[in-house]
Amino acid sequence: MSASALTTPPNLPKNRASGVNTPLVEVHELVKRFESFTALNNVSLRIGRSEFFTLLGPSGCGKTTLLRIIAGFEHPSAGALRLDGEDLIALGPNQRPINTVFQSYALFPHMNVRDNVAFGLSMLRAKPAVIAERVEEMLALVKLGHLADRRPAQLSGGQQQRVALARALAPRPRLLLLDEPLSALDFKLRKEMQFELKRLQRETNVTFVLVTHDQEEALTMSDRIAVMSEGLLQQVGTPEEIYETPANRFVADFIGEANLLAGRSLGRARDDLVMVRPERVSLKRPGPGVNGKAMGIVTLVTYVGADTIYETELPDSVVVKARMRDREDRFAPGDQVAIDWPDRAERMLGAAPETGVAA
Amino acid sequence: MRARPFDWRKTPGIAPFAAFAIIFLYAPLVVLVIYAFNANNVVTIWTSFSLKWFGVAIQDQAIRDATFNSIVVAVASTILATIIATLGALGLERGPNFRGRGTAIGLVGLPLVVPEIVTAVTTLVFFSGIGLNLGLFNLIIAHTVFCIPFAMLPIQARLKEMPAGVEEAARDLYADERRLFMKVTLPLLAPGIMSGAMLAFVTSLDDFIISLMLAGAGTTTLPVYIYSMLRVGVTPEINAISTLLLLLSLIFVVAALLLTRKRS
Repeated sequence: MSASALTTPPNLPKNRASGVNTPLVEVHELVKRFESFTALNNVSLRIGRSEFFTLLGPSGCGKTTLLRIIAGFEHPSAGALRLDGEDLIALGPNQRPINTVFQSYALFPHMNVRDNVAFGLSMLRAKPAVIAERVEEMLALVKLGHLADRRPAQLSGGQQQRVALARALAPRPRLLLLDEPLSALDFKLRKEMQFELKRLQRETNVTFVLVTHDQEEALTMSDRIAVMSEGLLQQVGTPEEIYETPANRFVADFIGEANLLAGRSLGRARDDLVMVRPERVSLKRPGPGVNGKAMGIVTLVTYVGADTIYETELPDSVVVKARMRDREDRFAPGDQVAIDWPDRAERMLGAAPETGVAA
Repeated sequence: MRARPFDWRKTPGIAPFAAFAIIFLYAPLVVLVIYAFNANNVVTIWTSFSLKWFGVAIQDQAIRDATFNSIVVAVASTILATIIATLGALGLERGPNFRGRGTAIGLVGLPLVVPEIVTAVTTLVFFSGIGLNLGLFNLIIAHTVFCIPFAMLPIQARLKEMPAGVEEAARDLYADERRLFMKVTLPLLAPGIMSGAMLAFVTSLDDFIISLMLAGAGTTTLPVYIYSMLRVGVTPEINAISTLLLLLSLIFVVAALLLTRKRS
């Protein structure tokens, strides 16, 4: 497949022989080294068609570098990158049927909303009538038809965000990349846009690859999540898999809250690292017939509305958090409690470190 | 609004000081313009209102030649300097990083800090050393060189403050290098290029020392000619020319203001 075939408007019907079984995006052993540090260390990934896929990790984990390599702004040091089975590495960003929603939106300040949205199609030399129709369609999709003549500077942050989305979706990319698109919005707007993004992805059926450091955002929006840290892929899975069965200590710690306990703190023979989510932990008053995984003392009670969070301390000063909804039986600091959780709520994360484990 | 801990406008004595500064700066200009309309042959003695000296100035062949030279040199060196400055700024700000980039930026800005008399003497020595004798072109070359940093400053500033990622966004949206430049970079750079060009034009038109050193017979520029007139004696004709020059600069400043206002 030549470069020019990829640059013909990406709205051609998907009649590729590669079919549905091959992944849309294939990242194979990708390495990116900057002068003195490795941003991506042998990352391999497959992203399916119409998937909402999220790259999640703390800043500096390599997620943005990976996104920029897929978009074509960075050149990998080694490895392969394929879209529908075609090698992308040699193609510039303007030759890939991939569009990006930038963190800063990067709208063209000298053009109105309509011309911003039309830009991609006009660069692809689509017919003016086709462009006009598509722009109207996109503006309706993001509910901005009434602001088509405004300049970006005359729009609110949320509106600029929608223009950026419409502009990136207008050329019908085979893949849409979103670089922390919601990070500049305030909390309430961010929640709204999360649903909005999910809706757009369903309606357009385009594959979305989202980069975020916000684990809650990743959990609520994604079909699958790739958790990254220090240039390495830590785990790829559905939000449920990532949350319930984290592959390692980093994932357990980064996603949600986790009690990380050494087996020895629980009086076990095997000193494995045990992960239990606070909401799976229950506290009981000690007494005859009451069993628990451990005994402890309540040290801190925090009321957070729907739940109450208890911090308890085991005899060896290790802290265990419990998040409980029960309003009948409240505990107070100093209470002796039996700390318990179902066996299946435990996740073993290999050998515990020698030093104490902080929850 | 939060109360400001310090408001310089409320500083005691600031108003009279400001008034004095403004009078100090503008009173000579006002006087100059008023006496341009003086009918008397002696500039300092007011007799009656007259436009006669404007007529004299406009019909003076030497002034016409000097004005023509000044405008040709200013226009040519502005165009050349602005093109070179635009390319230079793009290369330094957008091109790949290279060894000596900082030195290059410093060298381009050198004419801003080197005393003009040094530039003038070295240029004169250099031109006569290589035997370059192209009349007005000598002046155009010299003016282009010292106008480049003036033209480059606003262009560089504009490039630096260009919103993050718009050029990447254009490439992401299928723009090739040529259309990226024509549709995004250049339109966003245009106000910077315009102000760069105006700065270059005014700097060239205003230049005296370098022009004095390089100007030969027939290539005298207006500032140099005015200076030679002063040595003979000050007539209101000089006031009239100066007033016309002032008007020209005002037009430029207003045009620049209107242009930038329209953009934002």
